Formats: sequence, structure tokens, C-alpha cells
Amino acid sequence: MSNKEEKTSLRSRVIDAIENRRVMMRPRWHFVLLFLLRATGLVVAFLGLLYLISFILFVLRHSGLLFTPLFGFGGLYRLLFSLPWILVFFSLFFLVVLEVLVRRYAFAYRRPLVYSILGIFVLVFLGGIIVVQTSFHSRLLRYAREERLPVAGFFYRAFTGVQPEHVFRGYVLEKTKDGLIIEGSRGVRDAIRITPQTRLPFGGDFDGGDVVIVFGNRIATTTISAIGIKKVADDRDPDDGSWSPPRRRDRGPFMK
Amino acid sequence: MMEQTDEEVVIRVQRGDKEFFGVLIDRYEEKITRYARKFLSQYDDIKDIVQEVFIKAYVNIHSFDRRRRFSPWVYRIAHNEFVNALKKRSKERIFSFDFDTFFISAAQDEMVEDVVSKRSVVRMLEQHLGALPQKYREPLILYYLEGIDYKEIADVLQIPISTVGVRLRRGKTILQEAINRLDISL
Repeated sequence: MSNKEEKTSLRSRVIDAIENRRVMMRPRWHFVLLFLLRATGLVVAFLGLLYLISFILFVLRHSGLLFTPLFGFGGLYRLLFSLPWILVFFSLFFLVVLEVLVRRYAFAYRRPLVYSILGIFVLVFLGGIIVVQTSFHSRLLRYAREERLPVAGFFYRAFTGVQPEHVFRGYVLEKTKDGLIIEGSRGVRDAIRITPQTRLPFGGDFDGGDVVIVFGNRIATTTISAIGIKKVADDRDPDDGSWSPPRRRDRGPFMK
Repeated sequence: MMEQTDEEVVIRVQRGDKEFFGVLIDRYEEKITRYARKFLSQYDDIKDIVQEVFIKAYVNIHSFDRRRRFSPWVYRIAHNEFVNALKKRSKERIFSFDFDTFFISAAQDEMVEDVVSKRSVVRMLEQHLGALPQKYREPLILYYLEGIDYKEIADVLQIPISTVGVRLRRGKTILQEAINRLDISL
């Protein structure tokens, strides 16, 4: 068959198939639906990842682990050792899903993979920081504690129920000659011993009612030798009655 | 009357002027067949595969985004069809992911290449295409034989633009090495 004949034959076969309706165009709505499904998948994966990242940040801040790297390598090791790795792996899974969905679009595939992965990560990380500034997770935690959160309740109770080793959180009750007395959750009081080696990255000017994170070693039943102390914001849900330091106006007379 | 662009013809097909699809076949049959012959050189049912490319293009014509160019879109369909054909019949591993798409590479711009050098690459390609691994073969065919630019190759293969440059450069090096080996053995 000559080149011209071959050409005509392919053209006529395709056109013949079209005209005899053996081959049909997919309607426009098919592609609109497909687009909407993909867009929904993208939004769900993004929100899922945003939720997980913000929850990890919330859990770390709640336990005080988020601040331990400020106290040196020991603190960094403690953070890495106590990270909720299962949540980290789930986040990585969502990141991969999101990347696969985004990769279909020209703005993503025309650039190296590392750009879109970093872009997604930065976006959800910043989003996570914003979410964690709100009372979203602390309110859900309160509902979980009050048994008012049916499915995610277990999730919240499990990840916030265990205080990591060597990390203590409480509010300052009293200053002593060698440190502080703090009161943690469930009213447990501990004496915090401050030594010249104790790291105070943002100064050691603590007032009564200040919420502090103490990284250190328990040297007696109610005494902790502090490796580092940091004052943190009292960021819990104001309606959460499980652990509530006195507000500044309610401080007792012994507090400066 | 001025000749309609591919995109204008596609719009007519999308609006129901089915016979205009023949115009697109006339314009692309030779190109897609040539691309198929280079890509699937060892197969004898190339005509059927090319026909399948046009049928897929017609079936999915409403997914074509009118703001973009038709040429990379139809080459993308052809690429997918050829890769599927290879997967079905070849033992050669077809990579869907490659690390060269992951990292940031220095810009590999081949555009400044002079005409003489381009011609010599085309000659080398015509004779020794089989010496190239699949992932280097395709960008070289598209760039040197089909005259498609970097950005459009990136759209056809859905890989980063910088990776297109990297694969072109490495592909040429491999081709040159294969030719050198052949010269020595002769």
C-alpha cells in the first residue's frame, strides 16, 4: 500500500467508526464530574493532612515536648524519641496521596517533585500552626474528656493522656530559695530545683500563675532537678476544668 | 480563507462538527505514525496503535482545554497508548517514576545548539535509536525528530522541564558512547 493510500485508509476507518457511532465522544459532563471528583479528593487529602499536622503540633504543645529542643540535644532527643510516629506516618501517607493528585497539573509536574512536596509541606505546616493557635483541638479534647466526641474521642484521649518521661507541665505556685513549686494536672505538686546548669532560654523571671514546661529528672518522689524551664502561654480551652491555673487576678497573697 | 488552527478545529469538533476530526487526522497522522515507528520500532501493528490514538483523542475530545495547545495533548495520548502497548508486550521495564524528576537540576538548555550539531544528532538517532534506554529515547525523538520544544515535551511526558534537558543531554551522551563503541569494534 502506498503512503497516500495508507493515510486515506486510517482516516476513513476512524471517520467511518465515528459516523457509524461505533465510537462515541464522552460528554462534557463526564469530564466535569471527573474534575469535581479529583478536586474533592484533593481538598479531602489536604484537609486530612492539615488536621493531622495540626493535631501533632497540638499534642506536642500539650505535652510540652514541642519546647524541649530549646534545652539542648537531650531535649531534641526526647522530642524525637517521644514523637507520635504513627501520626507522622499517616501524615506522610496523606502527603504522598496529595502529591499524586497534584502531580496531574502542569504547575506541579513541570517542576521537580521536591518543589511540590516542599510546597505542600510548607502550606500544611503553616496551616497547622494557624489551626493550633485556635481553640479547635482543645475544645475537641474537652468534648473527648466529657465523652461527647464519639469517634475521635479515643484518639484525643490516647494521644494526650500520657505525659512523656522527663517533661513536666504545671503552673507556678510558689518560688522557693532553690527553685519553684509547681502544680500539674490532677493537683500534683512538685518542687523544681534550679541549678546553675539549668537552661532558662527566655529568662528565669517566673511569677505565680505562670504556666511552665520543665525538662528534667525526678530525683525524689516530689522533687525534679531541672535541665531546662520555659514559660509557655496558657493556651488551654478556658472551659476545660481538668487543669486550671489561677488567672493573674486570682493569685494568692504569697505570689508576687 | 485563512487556515484554521488546530485548536479552532477542535472547538468545531467539540461543538458537533464531527467531520472536522478528519482535518486533525490529516495534520497529525504522519507525525504520530513516525513517533510510533521510533518508539515501537519492534512492533508490526503500529497502524492499529496509531488508529487507537486517534479514536482515544476523539472519545476524550471534551477533556481538551481550549486555552492550551492541541499538539502536546495529542502527543500525550500517543505516549500513553505506546507505553501501554509496551507494557502489554515487552519485558522491558517501563518506569513510571524516576529520581531525575525529584531533584532540582541545573538548567540544561539545548536550544542554543547549532543547526549542524542538531543535524548530526538526528543522523545518529535515525541509525542508533535502539541503543538508547526507553526513558532517553522518547525526549530525543520528540525534540530532534518531531521538533517539539522543552515545555511541550514536559507536558507530553508530564515530567519537569529541567528533567527534559537532563534526559536530552544524557541521551546524547549514551548515543555518542554507543557509536564510539561500534567504531572501535569495527
